[in-house]
Amino acid sequence: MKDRATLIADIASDLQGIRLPPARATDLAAEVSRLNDAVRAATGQLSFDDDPAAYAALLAKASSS
Amino acid sequence: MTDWTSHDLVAIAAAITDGQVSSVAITEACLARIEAWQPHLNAFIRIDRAAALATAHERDRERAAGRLRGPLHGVPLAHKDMFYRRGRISTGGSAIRRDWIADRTATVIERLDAAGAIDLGTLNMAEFAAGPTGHNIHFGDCCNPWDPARVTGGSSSGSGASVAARLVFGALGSDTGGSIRMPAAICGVVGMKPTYGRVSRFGALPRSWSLDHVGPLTRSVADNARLLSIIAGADAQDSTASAHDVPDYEAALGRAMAGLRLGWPASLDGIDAGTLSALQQARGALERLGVRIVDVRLPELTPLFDTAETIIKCEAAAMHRPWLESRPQDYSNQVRWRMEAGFLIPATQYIDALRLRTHHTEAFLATTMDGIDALLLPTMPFATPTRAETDVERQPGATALAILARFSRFTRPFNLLGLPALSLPCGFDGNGLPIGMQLVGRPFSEALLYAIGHAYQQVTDHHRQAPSLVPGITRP
Repeated sequence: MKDRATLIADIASDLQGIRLPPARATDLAAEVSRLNDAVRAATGQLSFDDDPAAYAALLAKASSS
Repeated sequence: MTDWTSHDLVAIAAAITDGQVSSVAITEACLARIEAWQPHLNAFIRIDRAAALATAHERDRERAAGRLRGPLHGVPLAHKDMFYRRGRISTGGSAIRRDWIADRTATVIERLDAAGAIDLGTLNMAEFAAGPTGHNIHFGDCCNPWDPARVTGGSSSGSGASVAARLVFGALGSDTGGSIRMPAAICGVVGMKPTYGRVSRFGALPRSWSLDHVGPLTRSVADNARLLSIIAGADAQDSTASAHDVPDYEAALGRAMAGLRLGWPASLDGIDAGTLSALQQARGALERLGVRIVDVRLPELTPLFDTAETIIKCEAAAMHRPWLESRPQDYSNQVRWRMEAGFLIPATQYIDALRLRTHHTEAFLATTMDGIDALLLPTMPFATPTRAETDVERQPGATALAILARFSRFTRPFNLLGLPALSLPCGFDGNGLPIGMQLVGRPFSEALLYAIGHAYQQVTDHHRQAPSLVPGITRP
């Protein structure tokens, strides 16, 4: 199984056309993992009907004036 | 002889309207001051001297004929070099757009023009609005007017520096993670990041469509209220610009403080002693005005930070993809590095981050903001560092990166939540650099934040302090 840095480098190259030096791929692997894990850890609170566009309606509804 | 550049925006607008001073005289005074300070600060990317004076002459003719355009008639401003004006170069602080001529005019610029303002030129900024310090390898770093060896904060670096140095009476900036508030705090001026959608983003270079906010930097809260009242409001050219009523922010400044409830975090980890001391003194001043302090608990900020980062990186990667493919060498390393993860985060995670935004905001309003009118926080967690120790481009290393990571700890979460946040001066650190405090409110509560900030500025004078130009000292 590929290590994470190699995976990141392959994704960058094959899917995005970006060539990453090995050290950069290692740094990005850590960064992507951190951000990925942060979002995934919170998705338990999402329901099927959660719409990204609901945010604007929330701001309007929550205004104090 | 009156030094008109030492007055604030509201006073100068009145002086011009009343005929005490001409717009040409004010504009010439600003231009002279800019000429003296520019070698020290590098706050401007371009100074439009001839155009500004021509406009000033026109404003004076109009005034003499009894035709006042609006509440900024004849007042000199300048803006971060990312607000497009059709036919004029808008660099975005970048090499890639060094010669790009805008094909549209930003709504906020049109509104300021309609109010009668003079535009002195374009202000320095972090490349593509991506940087919290004010470094810029393409146009030279912007330097702090209080100590040129120190950062201005970014990415609205020139906006913070020029207002602080009294080169202009106000400036627009943009804020995706703190880029209005950080330079405002570090340079000792007032900066408002309004509610998401309060101000149109049309014609403003984007950093992240979902988290970008446009707002003013000024010398005083009253000045800031005037500028926001002019630029805020719905815009048919920006579907995210809210139709929520724009109140008379200036009229609301005199609101009584008695009974207002201000949240104070029970624990403020990661801020230095000087910042905490200044914040505690500000809290005391507000209590003496009648504000009631309520202990509140902040949520863990790291999840909010990371959710915001996910959104910013993915959107920035998408918008920069063509240039990153065709001319990656024209980006500074730190700007390119900050976007690259966006190409590798799955689309589902990006979409979930947007969906989580609603949940995080609902939870924050229901818990931390429950029972309070506004929240008091630091803007920056530590004293202003030097440009040398934060120069990740020229001296990349763990220390510089660690400092940068902490810059926006108390600002970026409120870009995700989209809540209004006002930074204003509340003291000075051990090195003589300004410290800023941040007032955060509920959606569209800018008027309340302004009222609290204005009341504070009636009993303090931090915002009246201005840096002095030291002869013979040029920027390192």
